[in-house]
Amino acid sequence: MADAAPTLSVQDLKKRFGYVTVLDGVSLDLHPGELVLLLGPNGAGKTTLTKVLTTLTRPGGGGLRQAKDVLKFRGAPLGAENRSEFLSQVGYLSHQSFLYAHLTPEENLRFFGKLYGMGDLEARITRLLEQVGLSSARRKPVATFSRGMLQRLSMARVLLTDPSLLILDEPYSGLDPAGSRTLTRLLAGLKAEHRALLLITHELEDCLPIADRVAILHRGRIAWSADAAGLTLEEARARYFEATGGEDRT
Amino acid sequence: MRYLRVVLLVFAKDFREEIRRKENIASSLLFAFLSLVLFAFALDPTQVDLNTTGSGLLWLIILFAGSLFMGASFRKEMEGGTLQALLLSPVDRSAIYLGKFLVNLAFLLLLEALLLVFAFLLLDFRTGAVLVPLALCWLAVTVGYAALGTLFSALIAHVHGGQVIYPILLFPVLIPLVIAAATLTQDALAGRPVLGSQWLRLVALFDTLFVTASVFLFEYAVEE
Repeated sequence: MADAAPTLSVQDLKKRFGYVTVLDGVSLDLHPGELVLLLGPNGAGKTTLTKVLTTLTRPGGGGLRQAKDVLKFRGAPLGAENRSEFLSQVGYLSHQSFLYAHLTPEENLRFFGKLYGMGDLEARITRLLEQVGLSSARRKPVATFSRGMLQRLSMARVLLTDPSLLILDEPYSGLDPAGSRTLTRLLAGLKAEHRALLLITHELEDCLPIADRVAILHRGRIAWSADAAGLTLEEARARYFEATGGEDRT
Repeated sequence: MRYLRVVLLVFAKDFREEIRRKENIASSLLFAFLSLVLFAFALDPTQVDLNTTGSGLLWLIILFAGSLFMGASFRKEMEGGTLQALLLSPVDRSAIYLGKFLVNLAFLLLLEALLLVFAFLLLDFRTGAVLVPLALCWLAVTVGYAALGTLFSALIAHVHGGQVIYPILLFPVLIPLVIAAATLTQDALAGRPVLGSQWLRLVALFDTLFVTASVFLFEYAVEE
């Protein structure tokens, strides 16, 4: 797996907001078919990292550094030339739903599908809504949805554009146990389809069995990283407490 | 072709959302109507000829009511994080701006049309034979207003309490356009030729400048 060119590679990423250093030299590779589990206490810089990785926020703090200096997409520096191709391949699930509350699920998905120039859209929307269990609510305004329904629809929005790189920030948030199990199966399936996944979560029980690598982000740095193969839940927790000094429970 | 499709897509999405959301359209139109009613009570039609002095009042109403609507143009995209979703899509960001600009332009033109009807009913504001040159002047001014209003809405989208800052930032930049608008309206109502006048040329210059600059600056305005 490590021999293939990484889908996304980040080297010595720094990000500062004013005098506060949020990311301090983060390096990370995401290969096709690999699921990297990123753990970290609140305020470790996880969300900022996802924003830089998706180009929503510029890297900064080390002078005039641009995205192309620290980010590589399929081996090529990420710049204006390949940014559009990169964005068409990224699926980003954030803390926010990225959905329009006054539109219905199918209207939301249709809008984003057209924005990405997706073909065969109606069949794709029907299949995805079925997959996330929202077929019966396809014509209800999103404003009436519960947190769990929103999360499932957000996942459908992410998958709509068939991305080869998925960056998922707390995808289990708001899901009930059945929804969590469905999501874990879905993530395992996406990994099997050779997509690269960066998963930020505190749900170690659900995610550790399908993860390839585990990394712990603490105070803007990768404090610990290892292959997930053979790593038990107890060991992962122990490493987490060692790396973070027990700042947060996972 | 794809660029134009994205512009129309954003326009159609925003239009549908505004119709369902109602709060932005309703608050803006209600503000315009109430302002007009207040003017109708405050001004004595036997003392003041509104056909010569009313142009400034009407533009004040358009300015404030329009800013209520346009200020929310990008702020509402922060609610579910949809602005980030738009910025993550593999499209030219200026197409997103132009889609929003067209929605704002369409709303302002609707506001102005309704305002003229209510001004006629409440204040006996008669446009009569000068309706066509007047409409052309207002259209020209509205293009510039919508262009800047949309750009400034994007600028303040990430700012906490941006709705308060919005008119404070926007109105000073609009002063030349508003002076031109009031003068052109006054000239049109007095039956003076406005097409080809210096004021209209000035407005055309502002429109070109504002639309072009906004298309290029939008990318930087929305960056976090």
